Amino acid sequence: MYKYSELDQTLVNERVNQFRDQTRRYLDGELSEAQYLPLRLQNGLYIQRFAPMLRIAIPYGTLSSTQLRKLGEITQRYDKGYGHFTTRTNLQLNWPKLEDVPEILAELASVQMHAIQTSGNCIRNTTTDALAGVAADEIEDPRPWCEIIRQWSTFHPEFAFLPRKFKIAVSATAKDRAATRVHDIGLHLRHDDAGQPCFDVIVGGGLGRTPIIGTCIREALPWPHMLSYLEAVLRVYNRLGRRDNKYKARIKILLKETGAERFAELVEQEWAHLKDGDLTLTQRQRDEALSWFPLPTYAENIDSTALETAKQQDARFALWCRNNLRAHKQPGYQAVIISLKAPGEVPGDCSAEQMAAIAELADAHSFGEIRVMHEQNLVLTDVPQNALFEIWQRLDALNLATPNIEKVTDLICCPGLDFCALANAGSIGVALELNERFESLDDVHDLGDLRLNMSGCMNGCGHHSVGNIGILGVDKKGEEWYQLTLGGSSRNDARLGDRLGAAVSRAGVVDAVMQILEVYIEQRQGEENFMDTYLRVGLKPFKEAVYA
Amino acid sequence: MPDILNPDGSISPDLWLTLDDEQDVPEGSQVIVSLSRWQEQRETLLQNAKAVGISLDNTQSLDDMEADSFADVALIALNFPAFTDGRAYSQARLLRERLQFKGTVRACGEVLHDQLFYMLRCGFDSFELPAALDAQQADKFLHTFSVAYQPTSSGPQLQRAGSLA
Repeated sequence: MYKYSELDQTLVNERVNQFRDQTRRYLDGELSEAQYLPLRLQNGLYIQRFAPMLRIAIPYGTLSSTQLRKLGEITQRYDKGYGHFTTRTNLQLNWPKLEDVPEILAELASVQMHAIQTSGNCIRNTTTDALAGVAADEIEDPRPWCEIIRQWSTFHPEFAFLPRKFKIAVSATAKDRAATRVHDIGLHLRHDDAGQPCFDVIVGGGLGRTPIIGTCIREALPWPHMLSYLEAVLRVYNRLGRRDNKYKARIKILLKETGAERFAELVEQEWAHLKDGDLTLTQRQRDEALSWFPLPTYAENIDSTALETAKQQDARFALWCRNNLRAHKQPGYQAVIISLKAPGEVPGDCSAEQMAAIAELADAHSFGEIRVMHEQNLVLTDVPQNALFEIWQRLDALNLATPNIEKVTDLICCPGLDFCALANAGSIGVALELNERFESLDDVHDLGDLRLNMSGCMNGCGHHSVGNIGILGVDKKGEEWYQLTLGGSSRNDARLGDRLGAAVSRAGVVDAVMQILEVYIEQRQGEENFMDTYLRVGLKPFKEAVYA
Repeated sequence: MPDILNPDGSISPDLWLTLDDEQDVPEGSQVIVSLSRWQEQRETLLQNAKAVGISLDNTQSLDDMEADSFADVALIALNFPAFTDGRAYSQARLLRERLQFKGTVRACGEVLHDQLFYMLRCGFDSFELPAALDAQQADKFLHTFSVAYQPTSSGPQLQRAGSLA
């Protein structure tokens, strides 16, 4: 993974000093609440319902074991001994003390981490496929490009006060695993006719109050122009994005109001001035960036006989292998998905003990590296097949081996009313209750691949709009109600879910989901998954069942 | 007379007079006028004033400006109606990098300590003095960071961080 140069370290150290001073000035009354707010936000510090919340950046979801251990230690020393992994692959602490935050940032800096631009109206953490660099279906490793974007976007002097937050995601597989169509900019890396990397640039996707699927405004952008083109998009947005209404300030609204074609023209006009300028990437820089992500030294001829025997002897292990492993470029290796969605646990939460144990497993079996998935799970990317049984046993003992990846209980969920100052309704309680309804893992498995996403309010942090089943918490006269949508997706077939009907009550929401699943089981043909069944039969049978 | 912060951290009195479009130019003065007045009265203004500056709204597009549009302008004032409104950062870079403006670019409006570093990097070289800025501290805020990732041709040339230098 990328290792800081001395200058990267200098920058992060200077940031710690800056924030220490800003926090001191705020606590001393030299900075007003309003003046401190955007400063703390650009360091990922929110003031939440019960306590401040600190969001720590995990660039494109990549962590070293040293960093994960440090995160665990920080949650123990400054918080309640756990953290929450988010859909943008960051880690949130829910209970730090404001006056401790400068010290937490100093601890993070000691392991090449920070909380820079994890909030605020600026360019946020760039995300990608958690299987980057190892996925069998990958066109090219997206991480070097993500790191180039990270560097360009960090403390960009022109874009620190945009109309609204700005999120970039990069996908380098034909099958999009980075939800690029619901980001402010999604870059699709592919090869042009000459075999050179190029990018399709998708702009103006986003969730929240006005969910919109992004539009491709430029196809096959040659790689040397990646940064100058991004700068052109950002400059057009900074100048023309609406600032009169925060709910209309995202680039998706600008694109919609301007029209995608006109917007693309404006970007091209701006880019004409920037193209071939200082930001043009050279072959030397590309080679340099590639060298930041060397291939690990894989073992040859890994013996998988014991693995096959173990699978035959232990049905639980076999089920886990079937659901929680992903194909690897290297023969004899697998990517292992660590489920943070165990029954009874808050989706995406991870305790300090679990973090330390996962770091240890990564050191022993996966070259000391861990990835965070957009779906709020973790990955050990490079596991030899002969270590799988041992890893499974260890994970099982840690309650981290629930075999539910991409199944109904692997749901994406925001912190909801339990933590968030914005939420209208609880989401964690619903998630927990849903889990309880599935009496056996066989039931979960029988439902096939299914994405259930839940948000506690229309800001949509739980990506409900692109869930195959989406649940949105709404407030009705002080009571928690839930709006259901069906048929959303953030993958290649990206589409927004269709509204099922009137919101259902807290008491009825889990029943409604179970009814929806029953309709699916009745209606499916052969191996058809939920999404395909829904697209074939439409809303009607589901509606009839839920509102019978 | 309000004070102005300079890029070297020094503070000096503001010698510029901002005029409404109806106000006459006091002889021998340094005046800041609107863009439209400049476009209409360029020659007269240059004759009567000692130096002419113009003030641009942060919504003003610079796309149609020629490289010599501001040839005789000594100062351009860009506005931050709120410090969270970052449009003038883009204007400053366009003035410096595209239009090759060599005069003074002044940050006006809600100019706060913690934005000075970004402003300097975008090519501003004159700042309405942030309220309660301690002169001893000015340098710290102008040079919060000693390195930067972005190559910008405006502002101080910082050592390039990262590994792409």
